[in-house]
Amino acid sequence: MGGEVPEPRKMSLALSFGCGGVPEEALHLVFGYVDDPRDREAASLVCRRWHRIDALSRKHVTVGFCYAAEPARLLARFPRLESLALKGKPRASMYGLIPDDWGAYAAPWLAQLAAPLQCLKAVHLRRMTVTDEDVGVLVRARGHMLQVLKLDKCSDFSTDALRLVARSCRSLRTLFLEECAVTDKGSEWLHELAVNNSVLVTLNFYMTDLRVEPADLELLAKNCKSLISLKMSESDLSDLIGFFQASKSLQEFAGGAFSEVGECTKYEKVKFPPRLCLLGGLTFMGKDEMPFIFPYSAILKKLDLQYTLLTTEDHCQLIAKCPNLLVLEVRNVIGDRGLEVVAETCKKLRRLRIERGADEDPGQEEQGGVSQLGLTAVAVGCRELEYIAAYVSDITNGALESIGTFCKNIYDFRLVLLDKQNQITDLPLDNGVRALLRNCTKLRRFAIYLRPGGLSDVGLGYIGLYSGNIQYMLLGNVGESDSGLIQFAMGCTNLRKLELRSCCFSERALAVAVLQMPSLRYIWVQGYRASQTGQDLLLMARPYWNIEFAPPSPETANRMMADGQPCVDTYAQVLAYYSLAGRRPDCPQWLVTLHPA
Amino acid sequence: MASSAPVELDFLGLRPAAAAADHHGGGNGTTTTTTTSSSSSSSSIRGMKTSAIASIGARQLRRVIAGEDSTAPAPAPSKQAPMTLFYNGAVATFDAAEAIMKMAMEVTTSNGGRVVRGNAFADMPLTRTKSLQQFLQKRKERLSGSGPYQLGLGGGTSRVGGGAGTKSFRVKEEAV
Repeated sequence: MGGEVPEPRKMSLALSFGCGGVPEEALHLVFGYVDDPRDREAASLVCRRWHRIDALSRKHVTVGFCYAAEPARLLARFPRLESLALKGKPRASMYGLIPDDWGAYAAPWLAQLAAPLQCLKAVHLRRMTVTDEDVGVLVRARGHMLQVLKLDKCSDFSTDALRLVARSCRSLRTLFLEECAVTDKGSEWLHELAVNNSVLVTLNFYMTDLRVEPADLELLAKNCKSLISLKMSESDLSDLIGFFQASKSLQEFAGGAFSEVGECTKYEKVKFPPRLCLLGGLTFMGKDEMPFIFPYSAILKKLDLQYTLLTTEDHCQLIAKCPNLLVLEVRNVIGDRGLEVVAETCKKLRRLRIERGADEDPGQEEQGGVSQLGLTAVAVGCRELEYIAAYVSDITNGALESIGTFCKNIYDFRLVLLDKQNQITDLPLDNGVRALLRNCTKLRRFAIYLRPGGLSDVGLGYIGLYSGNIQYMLLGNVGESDSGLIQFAMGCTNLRKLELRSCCFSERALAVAVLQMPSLRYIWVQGYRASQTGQDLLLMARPYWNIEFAPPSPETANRMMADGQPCVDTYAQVLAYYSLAGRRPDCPQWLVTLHPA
Repeated sequence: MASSAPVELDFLGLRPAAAAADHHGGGNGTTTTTTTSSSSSSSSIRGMKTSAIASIGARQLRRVIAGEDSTAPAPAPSKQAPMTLFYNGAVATFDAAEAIMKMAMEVTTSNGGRVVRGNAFADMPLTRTKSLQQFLQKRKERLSGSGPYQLGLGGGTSRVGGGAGTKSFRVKEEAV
C-alpha cells in the first residue's frame, strides 16, 4: 500500500481507536447531542470505546416489551440511566382482549432498578401491573429526586400509592395516571399533592374514576403556579369554576362533565383560563353548552370531542371557528359534512382521529358516519397531516389514492372499515392501498382492518412490497389465503412489530411468514386457523424466540371472565417475540409456552 | 404464462395419501440448505429441533428463491413458470412464493391439531377501546334515565358510580 500520505491514515486510526486521539470528554460532549435511539444504537456498535461512552451517557431507554429483556442486564449496561420507559401488555388489552391476570408485572423491574439507578428521575410504565408495594419501592429509593411518574393504562394499585407519592416526591413535575384502574380509597392524595408540591407542571388522571374535591384542585392551582396541564376525571364542570379562576397559566384541560341535563345556566359561569388552547373531555357537552368554548375557539390547537353529545351540525358549527387546530379527535358523528368543514378550516391540522360511535343510536347520530367523501376532502384540504386514524362506514380506492397524493407527511395511518353497511362502494382496496403506501414515504405505522373481500392476496402482497420503512402494522380481515400472507411477508424488510386479527391464515403459514421478515421482533395474532395445540407454530422455533399460545376452548373462555364481566374472547391468541430473558417465568395457567422438545 | 398443468398444494394436509405419493415423506435428520432438495428434513440448533425453514434463515431463503445473489426483498421476476394455486375455492397465481410454500409443505409435522375455527370470522366482532365503550354505556344510561346520570340530581363532585374502595375502571359490556 505505498503512495499514501501517512499522516491522515494515522489520524483516522487515532480517531477510531482512541490512541491519544480525541479526548474522552470530547466524545462525551458529542454523544450528548445524539438523542435518537437508532443513532445511539448505531454509535454503540462502532467499537468498545464508543459502546462504553454510549452506555454511560445514555439518558433514556424504552424497553418496548418488558419480557424481551431483564432488569439486571439493563442495569449493567446503563448504570447512569435517568429515564426509563417500560411497556407491558399487548395493545389488544386496550380493547378488552387480554385477561387481567396476563402479567406484565412492574415488581421485578422496580425492585432491581429503583435503588441502583442513582440518576433515575423519570419512570413511565405503560400497560403494566403495578401494586402499591411496587410504587413504595420506587418512592423509597428515588422519591427525593423523582420528577416524572407516568403510570399509563396500569392497574392494581390504589390511591394509597398516590398518597405516598404526594407526600414523598416534592420535585415531581409530572404525575400521569391516564386510564389507570385505580382503587379509590379517598381523595386525600390530591390534598397532599396540593400541600406538598409547588413545582407540578402536569397532572393527569383523565379517564379514571377517581373522585376529587374541588377545594383541593383550587389549592393545587394556588400552590403550583407552573401548572399548565390538568386532565382529570368527570367532576361536574360547575364545580371547577374556582379552579379555573385560580390557575392562570393553564394551557391544557381535559375531563369534567356536564352532569346535569338542561341545567345550562349553571354552566354559564364556567370560564377557562386565558391561555387555554388544548381542550378535551367535556363529557356530555351538548349544543346548549357548546357556546362557552367559542371565546377560545380561535386559539384552540387541540380539541377532543369524543365524549360529547354534539350532532353533525354542532361539529360543523364549532369546527368552523377553529382555524388553528393541530389535533382533532371526534366520533364518526362528525360525518362527511363535518370533515368538509375541517378541510376548509383547519389548514394546519396534523393529527385527526375519527372514532367509532354507537352502532344504533336514537336520533343522535343519524347523519353520522364517515366515508370516502369526507376522507378525500380532508386529504385535499389538510396537507400537513401526519396522523390519520378513521373508522369509516364506506371507502373507495380513490380516497386512499388521494391521501397518498396530498398527504406527504403522514407517518401513521390507520383505517377501520365498520361492519354495518353491507355494500361497500369499491372493494377490494388493492390499488388504493398500493398508491397510499408508495406515495406516503414517511409512513412508519400502518393499520388496516377490513372485511372478507376487502383486500385480495395481491393487495396483501402490495402491502409487503411497498412496506418501505413501516415498523408497525395491524392487519385485520385482509387477504384471501396463505399465499397472500407469504407474499406480504417476503416484502417486509423493516417491519418490527405485527398484529393480525380475524384473518384466514393457517398456523403453518403464520410460522413460515414470520421467518421471512428479518426485522420482525414481535407478533400478536388473534383469529386464524387455530389448532388445539398450536403444533404448526413450532415451524418458527428458533433461539431467543419465545412463542406463547392461548388455546381456543370454552374452558379458556370461562377463565377469561372476571368480576362477572362478559367474555369477549374465545379465540386462540398467539404472541411471539425475541427475548434475551428466556421464557416467561410468570405465565398464567391458561397460557402455554411452545418450544421444541 | 405457464404451459404446465396447475399444481395443487394441500396446505391443511387434508389429503395425506396424495401427499405421501408426491413428496418424500418423513425424512429423519437430514439437514438441507437449499430448496432444490425436496426431501423433508428437520435439523437441530444447539440441540433444539427446528424446522428446515428456520435453520435456513430468511436472507438465505430469499436469495435462493429469487434465484440470484441479491438482497432485494421484492419478488424478483422469476425464471420459474408462474404457478396457479387452487386453495379452498380461491385461485392465486404466484412465482417466488412457491418454493417457500413447498418447503412448508414438506416439513413433517405430525399435525395432531385439527383446525378448530372455521373459515369466516364474521362472528369475530370489532371491539372498541374500553374508554369509548364506557362512555357509550354511560350515555345509554343517561338517555334511558337509569344509572347515576338521571335528570335533576343534586350537586356534588364527580358523579360516576361506585363507592369508595371499588375498582374504579370497569369494562362494560359492548355498547350496542
